Amino acid sequence: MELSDENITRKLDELLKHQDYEKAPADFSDKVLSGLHPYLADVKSQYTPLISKKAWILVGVLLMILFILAYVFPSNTETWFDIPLDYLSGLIENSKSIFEISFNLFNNLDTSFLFPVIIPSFILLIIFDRLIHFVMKNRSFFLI
Amino acid sequence: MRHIIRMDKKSDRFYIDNILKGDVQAFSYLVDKYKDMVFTLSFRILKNRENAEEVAQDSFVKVYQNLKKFKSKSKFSTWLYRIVYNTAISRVRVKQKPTMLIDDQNYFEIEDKNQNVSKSFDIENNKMILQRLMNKLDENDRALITLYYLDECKISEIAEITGINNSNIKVKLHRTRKKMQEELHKIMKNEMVGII
Repeated sequence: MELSDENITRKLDELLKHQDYEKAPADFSDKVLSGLHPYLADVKSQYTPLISKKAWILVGVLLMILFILAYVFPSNTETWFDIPLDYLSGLIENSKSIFEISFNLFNNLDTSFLFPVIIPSFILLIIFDRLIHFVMKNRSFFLI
Repeated sequence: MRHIIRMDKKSDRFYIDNILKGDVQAFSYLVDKYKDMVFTLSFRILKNRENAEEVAQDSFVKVYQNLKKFKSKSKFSTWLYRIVYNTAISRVRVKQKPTMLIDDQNYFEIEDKNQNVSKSFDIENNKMILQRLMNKLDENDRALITLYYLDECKISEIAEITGINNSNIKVKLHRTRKKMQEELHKIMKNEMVGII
């Protein structure tokens, strides 16, 4: 074969074109996966709250809308939204009577009872959820 | 091989999303898919099978640890090769000393040379020639040649992997080819003298 530049270029192209991958050892994947074990344990123990942040934001927004609607558009009829404007001033007095509320649902369907019960319940629920979330996220700190 | 890799129906992103949800099987799929290229790239840079295996494994672990940071701005393979390239190059700088020069022909370990001699003589011969040519290049040039010719990466992808700009890569590839041609000329000349 003549050693012209053309021949050498062609031979080099052939060599580069037909090169092949080096084969990784047969147990390569197993070794990689076994090297991941410490990190896999972390993934498994990650805590995810039952109710997501988005859901809580949605609940909060809905409650705010409800609250605003009740105050901006007071109704003359006896409905769920019919909240007296001096509600806030009477809130403390009402909250004192929470313990005196009977568990008869039909007797208690009154706005003056619903608001002092529902809103503090939601707030307590949110605080409780955030508290659990914080404790679970930092449980290594609490365990030590 | 490369055709098999590109024929997969589901994109890498699908597997990455599953890995982030905690699906280890999805990661083992990506390891299987890229292990040969990752191993080849680190082997070409390091010129040692054991070190290459170690670097390839470390690279996959790094990929797993940093997968959240991958934002799909580039191809997953580009991101992966960048990790492999950086890990291998830093290993070369730390571990390999200038006194470690070995005879050209033994620089790369050529395995099972006697296997299927009659059938694969040309292939083995070509492989040996290529290894001798590669041996004359530095680790960066070997990586460029591997990425450009073996994995058919685009210049822009190689730039992202290596951190060298596009025009420098073109110049480097041109010079590397020239160097390989000169070396190939010497080899072929010697072969012809041997025949005569």
